[in-house]
Amino acid sequence: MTSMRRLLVFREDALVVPETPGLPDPVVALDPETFEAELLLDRAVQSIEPEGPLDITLPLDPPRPPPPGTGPFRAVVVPQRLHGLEVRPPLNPGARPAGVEGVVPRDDRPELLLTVFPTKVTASGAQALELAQDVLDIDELVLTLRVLSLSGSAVITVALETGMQIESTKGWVSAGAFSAVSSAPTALVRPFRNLLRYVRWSATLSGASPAATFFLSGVGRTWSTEFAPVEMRLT
Amino acid sequence: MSQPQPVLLTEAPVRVTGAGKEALRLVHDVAPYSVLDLELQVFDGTNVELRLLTSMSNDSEEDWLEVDRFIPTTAPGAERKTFFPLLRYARWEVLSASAATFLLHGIGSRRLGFLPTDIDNCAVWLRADLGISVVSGAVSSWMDKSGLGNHMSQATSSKRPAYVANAVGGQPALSFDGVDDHLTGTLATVFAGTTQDLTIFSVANIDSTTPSGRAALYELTDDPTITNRGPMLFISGGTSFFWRCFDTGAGQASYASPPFDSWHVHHGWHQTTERRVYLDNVEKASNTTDVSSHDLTAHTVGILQPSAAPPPYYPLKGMIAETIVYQRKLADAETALVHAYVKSRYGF
Repeated sequence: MTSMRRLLVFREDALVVPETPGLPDPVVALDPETFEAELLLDRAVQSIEPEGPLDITLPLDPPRPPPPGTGPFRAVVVPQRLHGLEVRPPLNPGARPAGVEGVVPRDDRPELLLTVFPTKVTASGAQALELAQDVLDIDELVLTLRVLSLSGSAVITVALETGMQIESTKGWVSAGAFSAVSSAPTALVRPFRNLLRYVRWSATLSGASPAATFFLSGVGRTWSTEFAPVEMRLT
Repeated sequence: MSQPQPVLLTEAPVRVTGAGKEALRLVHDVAPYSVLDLELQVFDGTNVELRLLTSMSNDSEEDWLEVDRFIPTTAPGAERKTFFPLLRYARWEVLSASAATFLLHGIGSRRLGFLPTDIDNCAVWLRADLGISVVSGAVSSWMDKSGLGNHMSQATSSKRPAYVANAVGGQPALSFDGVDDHLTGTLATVFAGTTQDLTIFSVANIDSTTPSGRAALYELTDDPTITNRGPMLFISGGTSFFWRCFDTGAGQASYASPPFDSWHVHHGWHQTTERRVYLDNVEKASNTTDVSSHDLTAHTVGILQPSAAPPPYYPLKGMIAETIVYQRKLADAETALVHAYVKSRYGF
């Protein structure tokens, strides 16, 4: 993988290969007309040849120090479906990667972590706004809720809330809920769609002196572009 | 990846000697797909039952959840089924105990079309191709796909509706015998409150020979031993269709000459001060009498008062392909979405 790590990435679903040694043959067969137009909007791309292979000219990205003695250089965009690798997603999937990103093989794709550990709750409440996930690029979340422990007669209902901002709790609405869980361990799965920009979990606890520990993770998928799916942990 | 892709859960026919799961080292990364349309081909074996499991991890036997299961299939035979939602990994599991040879493959798609759960407050979604457990050709349980766990089941084998593979538009349905077939379940979470705004859809075909012209499509109740406790969609006397909510009749909306022997979408919505009933999204009747509502704890398809002393009340002779319940009155645009989905799916 050493050579792969030299590759530059400017979108989650494509590699930008500086220079052109060993390019896969299918690249020259790509039709520029069908290439994702949105890719061309990236500020790193200055021009693209309307005909022929997808050779593009990249200006040096201002935040990056230019390699000594080089000016604009040639590069080729390789869509994910051709390079067959997965790109490490940005910590915040709604934001664009700012610079050089590492490339990892499919089986080593990292998870998106906001908090690493299962969450214990002793009262009803929602995830802190600063921990809300940006899901701007995600059309569908399929989440699995694993309730690891419940104390006493506790019953927990975990819902997903979605909102357009993370400055206040105003305007946050429900994106759906898992069924109530009254025994542990229990695992549930369900999809969530029609999401606004951010999501966070909300837990409702009932019962005497309730406490519950749960873990919420899943896959975020995009329909409209060729972004790679990302794994998510909401707890 | 935006185009559907072939997915081979078995690359060649697999021979099993009994129940078991696909080895962890062979599990499939299905992260790119929202839905799998799979075909199970059975080359050898009787009543071969197979289900799909999904998980976020491929290195542990724990936390694998059932996505759905195929109808038991006997060789030579084939079954097609849609599987969703999917976590990152998927694997098959053979549930039947006898030897079998099968092939499992299909198409993975990135996008799933409109689902009833796309509209907020979907509390029950029962579809005849999803979450069905079939025993000897009859449905023993029907899993609610709303995500809220409002499942239904029938423990008595003689009271289970039959599974009909190609009932309407190539899609399956449950066939009720007009004697005592029904499925019932306790609501996982009580529908609570003194106001119970509801919208209920039933995609059904009522047989003209339904006994005494009485047939229940769906009932919500807080007491399955007595009647008129919650919203009900039913036919009575063979002449009128009723949308009755929370009382004995003063608050009901009904219309005459309901259709028989053909597929339709029966739906009604209820608010404290008003309720309306529709046939194929055409309003048929309304009622503006105030009715007092109460908590609801159970629901049933195919009969009323499932726990009442015999004889069974309003046993349906006919078929139900889908039942959807929302815990609010849907806006007209939302109702139109549901109808467009039904028309697209069932072709009527």
